Amino acid sequence: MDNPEYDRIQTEIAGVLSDKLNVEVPAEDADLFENGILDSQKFVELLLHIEQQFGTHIAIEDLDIENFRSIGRIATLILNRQNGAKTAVAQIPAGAHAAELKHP
Amino acid sequence: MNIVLAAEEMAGLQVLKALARSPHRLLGVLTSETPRTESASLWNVAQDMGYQTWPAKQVKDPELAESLRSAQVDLLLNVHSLYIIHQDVLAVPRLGAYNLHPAPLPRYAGLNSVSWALYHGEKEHGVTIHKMEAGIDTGDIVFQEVFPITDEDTGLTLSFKCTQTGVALMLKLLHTISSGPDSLQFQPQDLTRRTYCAAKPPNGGRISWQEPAENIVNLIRACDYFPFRSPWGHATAWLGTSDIGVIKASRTGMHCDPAPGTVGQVSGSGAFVASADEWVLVKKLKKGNSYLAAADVLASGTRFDPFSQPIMSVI
Repeated sequence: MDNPEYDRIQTEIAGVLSDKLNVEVPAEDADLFENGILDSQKFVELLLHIEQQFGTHIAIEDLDIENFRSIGRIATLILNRQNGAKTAVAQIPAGAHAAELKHP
Repeated sequence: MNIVLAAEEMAGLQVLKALARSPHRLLGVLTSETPRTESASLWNVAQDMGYQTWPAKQVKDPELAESLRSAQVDLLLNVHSLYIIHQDVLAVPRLGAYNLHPAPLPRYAGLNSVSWALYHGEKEHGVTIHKMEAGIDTGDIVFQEVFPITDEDTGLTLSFKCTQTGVALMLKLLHTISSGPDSLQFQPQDLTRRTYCAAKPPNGGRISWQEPAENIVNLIRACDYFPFRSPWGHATAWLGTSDIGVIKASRTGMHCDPAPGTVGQVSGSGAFVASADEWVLVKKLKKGNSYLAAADVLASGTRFDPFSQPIMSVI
């Protein structure tokens, strides 16, 4: 993907993994699960750090394991969020539109 | 609404975050107490967000009922919390107590339902929100959603699906109750269809290579939460004097003739191991504390202990 913003996000995610979680990822497309890089605690830490770092929110509909398999896929998710892809759940106060979730 | 959350795991964290963004008042979180070093634990995240936390096991204490009554709790939400809530506590919330169960009740009540569903080769699974009552996972169903299980699904991927779907249903519950609790539809469970899951894996998770490949691979998938902690531990097999964890494997559809447990062709993609009917492609193993590619451990012509006892279901 020839996109400077995407590259910047990838670099920041790699920094979070390295500096905050103390894990080294060999490549941007390395599978974070198959290669045993993220255990459950580190995965939750990663979610929290991503939300903090990028000022975004991981919505319930985004909580698909495939969105987190690699640095590249996480960067795509964040880029999509920053480009205005709407979250179905996250920014909606409970009691407002919860029925519009992915499960009608 | 005044809400109390009893929760664990990633699903609990997601509901906590959703409640924090909602207009409701979260009075506190009952969850497992953890040291400060575990910064991502629900206990610490809730405290960092400014919420009161109580040890999860307090739900068993009838004295909690009085505290909740004084606080005028409207709703108690239970998300993957493992303690049985005392009846006096369940009776307090004005609008009831609701549990998110990661299975399509009345089937797969109890513990580790995700693993049991994979072990039994189910083609679909689901999540249920039900009203809590004295029996375990027996209360009336308010929401349920069923989704397919693919051949590639493991304990880890199916757990993610349950979390994603279940948390969304919890938010739907919140929306429905806050819009008008009378609109909730209660569906009594047909308890003649109920199955109840034990906590531990069948036969201690031992692989019998004398079983058909489908059964063997289903056991391995059911134990496969790699790299997360598996509630069943790993499926295991004896090789010589070593107890080997078999972490990942798949079916090949290729008929095999050698004795069950025999290692056939070994390549970079894994090692073929004979079962009762077809070769099983074993890909990842655990030996000691190390996770290794099967090709780095297994040699063609060696043989796993076939393990004479059949895998038995205790569900």
